[in-house]
Amino acid sequence: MASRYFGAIILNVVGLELRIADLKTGETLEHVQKNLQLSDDIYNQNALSVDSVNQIVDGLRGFVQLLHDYRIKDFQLWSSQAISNVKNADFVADQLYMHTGLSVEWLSLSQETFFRVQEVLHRVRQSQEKLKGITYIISITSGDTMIVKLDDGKFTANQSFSLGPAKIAEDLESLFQEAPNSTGVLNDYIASKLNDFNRSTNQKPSNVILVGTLPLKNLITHGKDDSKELVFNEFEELQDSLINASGQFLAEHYGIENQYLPLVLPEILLLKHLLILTNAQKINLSNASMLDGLILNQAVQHGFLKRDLFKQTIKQAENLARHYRIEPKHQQLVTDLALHLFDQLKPMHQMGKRERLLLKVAAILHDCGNYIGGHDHYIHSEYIIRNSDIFGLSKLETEIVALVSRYHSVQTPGNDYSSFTQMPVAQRIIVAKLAAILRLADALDDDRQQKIKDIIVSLKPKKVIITAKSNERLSFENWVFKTKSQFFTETFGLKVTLKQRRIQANGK
Amino acid sequence: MANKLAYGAHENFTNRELSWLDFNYRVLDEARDKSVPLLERVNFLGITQSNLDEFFSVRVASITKLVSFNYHKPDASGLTAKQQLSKINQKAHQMLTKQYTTYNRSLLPALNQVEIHLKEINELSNEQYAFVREYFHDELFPVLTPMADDSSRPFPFISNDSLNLGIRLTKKDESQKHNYYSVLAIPTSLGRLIKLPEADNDFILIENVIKEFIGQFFIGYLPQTIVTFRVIRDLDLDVAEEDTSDFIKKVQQQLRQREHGRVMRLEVESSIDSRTKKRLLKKLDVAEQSLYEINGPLDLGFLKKWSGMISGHDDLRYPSFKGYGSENLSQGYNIFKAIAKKDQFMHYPYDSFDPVIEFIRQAAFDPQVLAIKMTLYRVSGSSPIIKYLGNAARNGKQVTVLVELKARFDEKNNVHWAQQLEKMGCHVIYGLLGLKTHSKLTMVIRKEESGIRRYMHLGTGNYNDATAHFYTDMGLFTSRNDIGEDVANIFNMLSGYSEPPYFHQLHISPDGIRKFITAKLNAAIDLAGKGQEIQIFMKMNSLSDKKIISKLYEASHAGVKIDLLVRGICCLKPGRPKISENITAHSIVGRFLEHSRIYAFTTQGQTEIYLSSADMMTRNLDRRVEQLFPILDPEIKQEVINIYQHMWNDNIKTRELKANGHYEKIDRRGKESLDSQEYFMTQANKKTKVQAKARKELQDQSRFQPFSAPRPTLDSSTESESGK
Repeated sequence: MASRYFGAIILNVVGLELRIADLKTGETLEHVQKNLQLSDDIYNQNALSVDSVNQIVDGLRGFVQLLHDYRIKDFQLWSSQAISNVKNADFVADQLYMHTGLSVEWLSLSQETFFRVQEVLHRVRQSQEKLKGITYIISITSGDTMIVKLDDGKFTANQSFSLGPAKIAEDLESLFQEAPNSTGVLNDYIASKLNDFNRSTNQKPSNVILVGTLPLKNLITHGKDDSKELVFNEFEELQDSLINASGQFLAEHYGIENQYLPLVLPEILLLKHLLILTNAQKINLSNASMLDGLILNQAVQHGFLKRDLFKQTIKQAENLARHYRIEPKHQQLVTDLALHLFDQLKPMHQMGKRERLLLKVAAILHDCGNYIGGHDHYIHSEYIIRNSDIFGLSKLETEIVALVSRYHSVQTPGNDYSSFTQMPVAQRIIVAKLAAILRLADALDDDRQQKIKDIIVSLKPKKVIITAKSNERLSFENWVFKTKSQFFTETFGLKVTLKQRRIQANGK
Repeated sequence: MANKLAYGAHENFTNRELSWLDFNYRVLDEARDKSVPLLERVNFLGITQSNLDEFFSVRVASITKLVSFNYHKPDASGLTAKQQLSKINQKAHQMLTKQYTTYNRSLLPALNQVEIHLKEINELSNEQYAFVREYFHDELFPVLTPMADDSSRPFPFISNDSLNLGIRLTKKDESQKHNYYSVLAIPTSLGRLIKLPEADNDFILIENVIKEFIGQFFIGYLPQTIVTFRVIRDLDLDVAEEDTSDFIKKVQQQLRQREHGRVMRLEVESSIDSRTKKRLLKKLDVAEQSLYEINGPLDLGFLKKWSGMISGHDDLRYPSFKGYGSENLSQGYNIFKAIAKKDQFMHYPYDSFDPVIEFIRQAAFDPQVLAIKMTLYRVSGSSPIIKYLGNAARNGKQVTVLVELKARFDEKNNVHWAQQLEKMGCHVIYGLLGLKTHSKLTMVIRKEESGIRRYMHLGTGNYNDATAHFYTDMGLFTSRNDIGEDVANIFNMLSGYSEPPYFHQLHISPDGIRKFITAKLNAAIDLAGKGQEIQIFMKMNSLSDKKIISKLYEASHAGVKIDLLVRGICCLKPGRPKISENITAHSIVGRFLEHSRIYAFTTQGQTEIYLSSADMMTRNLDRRVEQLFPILDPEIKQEVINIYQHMWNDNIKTRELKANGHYEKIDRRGKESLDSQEYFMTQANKKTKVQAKARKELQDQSRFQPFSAPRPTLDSSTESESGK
């Protein structure tokens, strides 16, 4: 069995955090934090200073010592998206590796929210409660805001804004010093950034679950760890008492640390806007953190917990597909065929669940470029996907999906395209293999008439035989298949042939 | 409450330093107590001296600095620094008289009666005189260097606590007009006492031998006066320690550089002539009130050594005592199993300290142990703990040790251990800037079948196997998960990580313990106001924090009954009308140094017990890392309550602090005598006997058993030992 204990380390704008968890029981063995002030580096300088990196290194060294204390073999350092954006991010990652032996894995914004949401849903599930009606999970980090919409507890959509309290505070620092009525300006600023929030004419009343680590939680819970619920009116009262409060008052009454004081006003105003936009009735504060979500994810990966963590990613892909009006019949069939091929060919490609998920997302979205235009649609698909937040996928994974979609049709992976060559070799192979499979699946319904409903895949020593069940004439398919299977043969070193089997009256 | 201001009034507080002197008086009383074995009385008198020396070099030094800064703010009792200084010196002068009366009138005659003699030079037999002459030539002469004291050179530096001779000379060929001065430092390396031949217990002080033959250094001169003198200097290295405001601390730091090592106290033999006296006062820059003229040998600290050098006379000492060592916490038994099964409570020295060492030893060798974390504050000279920590590191365990470098008078020692530990492969951390780490914690991380488990020892006293024999302390072995998390968090905190948002069971200074005790007292005040009967008992070494004392007054006034066992400094005044009528305060001074700290709260018959490393002193609450932990096991809780009740009912070694500020012995009429320390020793001896008997019975039973295969899990050496 895989190791029971896992050490999850996260580096974000406010500091470092380590949690060593028992994946089997979900209990925490060690939980350590080190506060660092990186927001100036990140939002103003756009680079981490030598001094900051040294502080991070010191903190991480202590974490490594703790991991040694418990002889933990499985651990991972993640870093939030905000830090991956600084211009010296790659150097920082290398320095951290040289000094501590830890390789950093950058999280995308959608992953950050994804892990938080997973944790929230996990807790809801643990508590046996049911979420009814519309629920929004609002996740506010220092520089970003993500909103996830649930209907009866089921994921329906998410949206993100590059807007968070630390970022607002840094952006408007000079303004605060000059404008006497900064609240008004602040409101306008926030409103302008949120204007593309999906506001349907009559937003149904909703409940909001707030996640995030920022000061507001302290304001409401007075530093205690309990989750707390308040109604919208209470929030407004709180806002009134805070809007003109002095820093000293906040520090003394709410125990807000000095470094967070400038963030209080931006956060509370931002939240107010969001609560109005979501027509929030009740607000719950959850202390579910990203780190908890990452650990939950590990527990699932290591087989200690059974959860389908891909559901929401798929749902998000389907949302996007609907948004770009992808023709559903072809999409459904290609997805089925691609996954069937993937599963049957497993002995020779040796890819895992995660790659299967990427293939599925690519299959769902591979034709989204048609929304722009049929000609070279695969190129449009690529950039649409690259610039979409697909819930739960890392930046690199999103890139893989984009490239697999690009190569599903006419072009094949090669050294002539920089996006492909910039990718690490291991990922390039994944792109090639997934693209080869998706091409085959797509070729089997190239004329979009769904003549082939089902296939049988048999893997022989030197070739693959795909038997298509169909009573129709497949000469077109055969012709397309021949050209498109060429890439499959190159990738896997196996010939692939298409055979037809007629379906009997009884369906066999 | 309208009364709130009244609680903080000056008249409700005793000055901290004067209260400390009272404590030293109580120790002095032990030296005068005829029911205490004679040689122990001698030892107690020696202790009063070394206590006083430390007091002067730290506390008096600190107050002297306030005076020289013209700091006028009064302390809780309303005394300015200047007033304190004069009161201290006044009281210390009285103490000096009492110390030497005790020495000259009670102890020396009593010792002479049992043929133990500290001889003057003119009392020596011929053979003894010949011996000391030879001793002077062979041992002393080569190492002595007289230094001339004249206008052509600076006055020689007189180091702290050293004995010196001040000599006034005249030239033989001059007509007695001119005075010459010289200073001779008496080396410390040879010891203060010289054992004489011809008798079992005849001794002479080294300075008396030197005085006798001093002429040999000054050929052509005539010594007119030879007097012994000694200085106590300012040794207050740790300014951050003291109970003053930040501003003062800063100033102190500056002053310290200028004034470091200033003389706080000058002791001279009373036979000194006025010329020499004036000269010393001037040269050493000492105020008249800091001069102590002494009728007898200077620095009675030698008495501590003397009682150890005396041969025979075991009847004049405390009977030897060995603490009870529970079998399942000893070598040959898996100590972790015992702790996992049940929390283990230790009451040192009645319970042997060995299990603590055994805990570290087993951790060093147990293959399942992953890591050991420990705080070390004062370590004994040849500490087995250090050795086992080194073993652990060599065996591939992760060993993290927090060494507190700033433990007073032990700084050098601590640096030495820290380096030694690092050499052995331990990970040494030094705690937090500006905060002394006073917590006493050990944590062993062990990988077991059911997962990772942590084993802790939390204590009220230091991990010092030497002092554990005569300090009464309490300790708890536990493997409770919530306490484990708390202790892990403390070690993380000490490594520089953020303080966790909350602790499960522990409360941590700075701030945490004060908050907790205040909250507890507030709750008690509330409930008492509603007519509930609330009882609080606390045991500590010192009680001096003004805020906590005021809170105790408030609680007393609200009707909470408060029993305090404060061994040393107590700035609280009990029994004052409308302030502290419900407070009773006792102090126990006896064979062992009372050192455990207990804080207990009884509400509606339910008692909550907390043990702590912290006293209710401002420095412990605000400027140190300390821990307070609950006793959760109901049996152990009952045990601590029983222990406390025996201490509280002690009427032999207990003195009660009266409203007038005096400590008085308990009126025993109509009551059964109870010496609590004696009682605990008897109980421990009984337990030891029962255990030995049970072991013997087991062996007798198995005497005629046929051989069976040897059991490799048990340590064979223990088996053979018990088979004797």
